[in-house]
Amino acid sequence: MSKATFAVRAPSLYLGLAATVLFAASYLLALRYSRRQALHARFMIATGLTMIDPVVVRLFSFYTPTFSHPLMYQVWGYGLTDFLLLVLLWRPTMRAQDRGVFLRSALLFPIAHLAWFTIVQGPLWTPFAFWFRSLPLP
Amino acid sequence: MVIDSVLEVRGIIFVYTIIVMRNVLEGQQMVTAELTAYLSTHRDGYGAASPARSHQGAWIFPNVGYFFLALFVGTLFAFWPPYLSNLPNTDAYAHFHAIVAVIWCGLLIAQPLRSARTVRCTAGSELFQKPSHRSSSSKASSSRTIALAS
Repeated sequence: MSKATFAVRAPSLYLGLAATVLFAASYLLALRYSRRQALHARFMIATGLTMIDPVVVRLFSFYTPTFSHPLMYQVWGYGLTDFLLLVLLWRPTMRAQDRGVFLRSALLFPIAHLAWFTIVQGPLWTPFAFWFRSLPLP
Repeated sequence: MVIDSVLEVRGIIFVYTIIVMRNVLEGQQMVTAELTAYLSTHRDGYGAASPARSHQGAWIFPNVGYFFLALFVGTLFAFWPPYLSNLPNTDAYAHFHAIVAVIWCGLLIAQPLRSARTVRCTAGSELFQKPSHRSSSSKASSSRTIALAS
C-alpha cells in the first residue's frame, strides 16, 4: 500500500485498534472481578459489545441506502453500543460500589468512541498511524 | 499489513481466552453461590429489601445469550458480502480472525444460558430439600426468586 493510499485509509486503523483495546480492557476487568458476579457478567457482556459496531456498520453498508455522511455509520454502531452499556449500568440493579466501578470502567467506551469523531478525523491521527505501521509487526 | 496485524493481535487475545475457558464453569459456580446466599437471606422473610425491588432486571443476565445469538445471526448477514461469499479468495488472517470470533460468540451465548440453567436447578433443589421449614411468606419469596431467575 502506497503512502498516499495509507494516509487516506489511516482513520480506519482506529476502528480495529479501538475495538481491540476495548475488548482487552473489558476482558481483563472481567478477570479482575471474576468473584463479583454483577461486575464479571457486565464486563464479559462488554467484550461482546465491541462486536456491535462492525456488524451494524456492515449491515447498514450492504443492505440500506448510503448514508449522507460516512461518520453516520459509527453514530449508529457506537451509539447502540453506548446505549446498551447505559442499560447495563441501570439494570440489573447492583450495589452502589459495583456501579461506581462499572461506571468508571465503562467510560472507556464513550471516550474511545468520541475520539473517532474528533481526534482521529483531525491531523493528529495520521502520524500515529504511520508510526504504528513502522512497528516490526508480522 | 497494519490492518492484518491489528486483527492478529485481536485474534491472539481471542485464543488466550480459549485457554481460560474455565470461566464458563466458574461463572456457574459464582451464580450458584450468589443465589444460595440470596435464598439463605430471604428464606424466612423479605428481610431488609424486597426481592422484587433488589432484583429488578434480573432477567437480563440469564437471557443475554439470546441477544448474542441474534447478534451472531446479524454477523452472518453482515459478513456475507465481503467474506462468507468469497471464502476461497480470503487470506489466512481473516480466517483466523473469523474462527476465534465465532468461538468467542459461542462463549457469550453458552455461558449465560448454562448459568441460568444452573440457577434454576439450584433454586429447585433448595425448595425441594427443606419444604417443611418454610413459612407461607418464605414460600412466596422463593417462588418469586425462581420466577426472576427463569
